[in-house]
Amino acid sequence: MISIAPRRVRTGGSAGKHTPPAPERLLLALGADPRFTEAVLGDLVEEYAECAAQRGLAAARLSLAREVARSAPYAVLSGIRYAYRQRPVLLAGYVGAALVATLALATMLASREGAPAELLAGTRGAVVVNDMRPVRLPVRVLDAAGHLMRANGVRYQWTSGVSVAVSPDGVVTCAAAGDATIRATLDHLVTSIALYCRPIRNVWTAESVQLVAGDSARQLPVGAMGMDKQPVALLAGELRSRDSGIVALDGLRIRPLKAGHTVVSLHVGAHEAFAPVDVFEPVRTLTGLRPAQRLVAVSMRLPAGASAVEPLPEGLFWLSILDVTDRRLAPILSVEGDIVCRPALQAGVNETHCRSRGAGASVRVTHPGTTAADVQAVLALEREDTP
Amino acid sequence: LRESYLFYIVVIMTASNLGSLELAVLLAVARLGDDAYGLAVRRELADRTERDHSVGAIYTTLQRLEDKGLLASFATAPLPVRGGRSRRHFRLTGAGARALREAERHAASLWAGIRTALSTKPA
Repeated sequence: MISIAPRRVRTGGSAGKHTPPAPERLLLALGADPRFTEAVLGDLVEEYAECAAQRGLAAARLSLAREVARSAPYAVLSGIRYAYRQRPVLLAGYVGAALVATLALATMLASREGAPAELLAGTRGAVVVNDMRPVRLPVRVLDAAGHLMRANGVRYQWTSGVSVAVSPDGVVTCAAAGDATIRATLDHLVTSIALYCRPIRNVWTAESVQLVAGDSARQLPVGAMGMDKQPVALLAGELRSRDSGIVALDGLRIRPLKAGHTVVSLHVGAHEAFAPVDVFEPVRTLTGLRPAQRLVAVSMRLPAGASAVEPLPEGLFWLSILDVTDRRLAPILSVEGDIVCRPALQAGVNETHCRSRGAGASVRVTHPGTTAADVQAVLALEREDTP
Repeated sequence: LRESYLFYIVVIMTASNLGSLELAVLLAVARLGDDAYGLAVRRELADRTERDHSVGAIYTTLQRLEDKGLLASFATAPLPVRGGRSRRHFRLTGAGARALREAERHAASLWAGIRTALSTKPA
């Protein structure tokens, strides 16, 4: 900020008229208080002359440079204070310029990208395409710090395997099933992409999903048929939920969060499949349900020969046993009281729609008797209306 | 001992509205009398406190004290030893003298009894 050129300073106690005008002009141009400039420069020259006389020019220059560096921040401070008193417009200009410069610097720092350091394709270098339409290869470019960069400039080329149309900017078209290798290049970076073309004819999933809030996540069953009408094992797609407050998704796993209905949709290539999801609120008993409790489930353990009875509310509802994987081990449902269910409950019927016309109806859950072991059962009730 | 010392510094700054460097510069100007200008003040402080403040820091403090009305300044005729520049001399104003007396009174009040305590308790 302050630069004194002491070359013309005479030693021996007199400095003569050798104060360089440049630093003074600089300080004044910055808006520094002229009195501050005059006093500081005068002191520096006076001290320099004394130091040069006593310790030599080299020491004087060193001392002067050190003093100039230490005083520079105060010169700026003086300029700001002076501008505040004398030239508010100039000060406003300083502040505005500083703000603009700070914002520009922050923007530049936030948006800056380093040199590309890594090319990542799909999952561990593998890309599955279940579509016959053109698809852009999912390639990411990272800098050395691992920051995601724009993938502009990456060039692609087919290198081996089944014939696949690949555009230079990474759009592939899988006309048939097969494996190919694609090379992606960006400057000095080269990576090999294993491309699995598995176009599909359709995709499906569970007809419906029943879960109890708070239970662990469950894998959604998914299947697909290839163009050759054979099952396709390699699938890449996306699972979405219409209500993320009821279920959370993690890949193909569904975690029930709270009671309610939602629908999850599976998207693979150009195909979709949908599964309605019911999440039940876990309760200890069906006794004393509140009107807002429309989806509830009671978990019970039945020893051999035992049964459990739960009261049923008035109105329309669905009654079901959840998670029946082995019909032989499914407990037997029966109802008592003024209630009509369709289909009629009998062995092997795990879900029914009922109308209860008054208080006093109940459901009995009985051990199937096909095993001597205890049977774990979850009785679910879904009310269609409230009394 | 250390806690007492820090407390002393804080209270002095608050009571007399003077920073520690401001107080030191004010005292140096009072001591130098008619010879009080930036370089002389800086040397006076260096001799007494063994701290080498930059010329910029000294003049900024002198300017601040002048803004507070504790110092007044005047410029001399241009001097060859300063490359044809004038010196800016400072002198204590009445308000400055009162501020020094107030600071001394606060310091004395805070230090009252401390020396006795220090002489009986090892630091």
